[in-house]
Amino acid sequence: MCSMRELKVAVVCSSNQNRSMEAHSFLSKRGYNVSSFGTGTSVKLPGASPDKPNIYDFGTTYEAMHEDLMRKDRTLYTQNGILHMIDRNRRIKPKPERFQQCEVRFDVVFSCEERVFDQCVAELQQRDVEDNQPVHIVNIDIQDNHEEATIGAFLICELCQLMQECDDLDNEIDELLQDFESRCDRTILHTVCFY
Amino acid sequence: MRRTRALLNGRTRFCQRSDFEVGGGILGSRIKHDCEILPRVVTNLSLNFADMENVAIIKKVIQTHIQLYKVALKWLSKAKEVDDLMQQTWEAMQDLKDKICALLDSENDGLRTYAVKYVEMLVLVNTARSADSEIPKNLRDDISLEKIPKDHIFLKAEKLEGEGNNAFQLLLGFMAHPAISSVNLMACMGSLTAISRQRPHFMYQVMQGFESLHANLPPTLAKSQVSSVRKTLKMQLLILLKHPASIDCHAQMTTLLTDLGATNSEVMKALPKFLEPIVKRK
Repeated sequence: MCSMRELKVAVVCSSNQNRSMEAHSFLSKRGYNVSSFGTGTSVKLPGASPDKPNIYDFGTTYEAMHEDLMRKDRTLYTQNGILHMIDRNRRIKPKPERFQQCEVRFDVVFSCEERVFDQCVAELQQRDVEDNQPVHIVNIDIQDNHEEATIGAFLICELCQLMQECDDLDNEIDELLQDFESRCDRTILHTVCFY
Repeated sequence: MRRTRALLNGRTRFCQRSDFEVGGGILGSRIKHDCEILPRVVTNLSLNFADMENVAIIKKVIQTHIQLYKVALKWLSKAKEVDDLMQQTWEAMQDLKDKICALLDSENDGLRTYAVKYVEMLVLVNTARSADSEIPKNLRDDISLEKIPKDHIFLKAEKLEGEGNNAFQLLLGFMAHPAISSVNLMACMGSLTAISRQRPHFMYQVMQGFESLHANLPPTLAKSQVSSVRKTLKMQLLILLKHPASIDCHAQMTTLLTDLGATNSEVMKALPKFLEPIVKRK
């Protein structure tokens, strides 16, 4: 139920590092009530080669990841922008968060790829429903690189603004998403779950 | 304390959703310990429902009524005698129930979504659990038809069951409406899945409904909405496939799932464990 008050938003990607954190940063600077999450079993960051990613569990702080990568290969992780990204992240919150472990309720959950959308919906559907408060899950496909993350954050922010301006989001969301989809030329998935 | 008294006396009309959340919260927690205040709370809810222009409050009334309906039915089912006040309270509950059900036809799409969840509750409360019902942990203590004494002086099991069945048909009809919105279609599919898991005797009808929906998706849906609806349908079918009572519908379900793009491994993963060796042998 999202009318007459501030929208509570979550942005979710796989590792809560790039796409969700870019959107988190972008939206919080514009004053939105935003949280970010990952749905993966662990946090994965690019490594020295594609078959050797750096893997951390969700309890690891951004600070610890930053130190670890500095120690491993400062030049490489500076050049590929990973250290810069983690530095940005640690200024926003201490560590990545897993969507499946979050008990906070949101009005809208944005996912950044279809697999993540499926995981968010599966998680919400397996929870016990308490008071039937709807939560809208919206997917916008964003490729996992720095440029696309920036564009994705902009699109999510634009959608948030439209949603925030709604008098009655539950009533208007279908139409709002249709209009937005035709304007930004991206396919949007949407479903509703209940807390 | 003064606030609680005002709420109980039904004098308070809420102007904002936040007021209702506070007021509803106070009353909700009181009512669990003291059913005697129910008559006054019901009056209060009806008053607030009358303000049809305040959509946010109507939604909150529906959410509250989902809980209160169950409390009221439990309260009445345990009563050895039913006095005038109890009867009037139940009649007021029924009156509000009819008004909320009518919201399935509301012009406001969001109110329709809330009404869907309300009708889901009516089906579950007014029908009986069976041995293979899968009841979510937080609903285990909820009232349902088999818990109401057969010889109850006021509540008639047949009538209640009739209401439950009518509510179920209402949801099936709503899902089949050609002008249903994508969001309500998905909410309705979720409700019918929840009902099937908790009342497996409805499983076959729900499957028929899903099959018919798959063949005749509403023409008003845009391309991406069709993708969202098909994805939701696939998820619901995979949930139902896990339920032991769906075994008679498996052929129908696996055909649908294949049409919806489910892989063999997704289907295998969703099958009840005792069926895996049989399917693998085939």
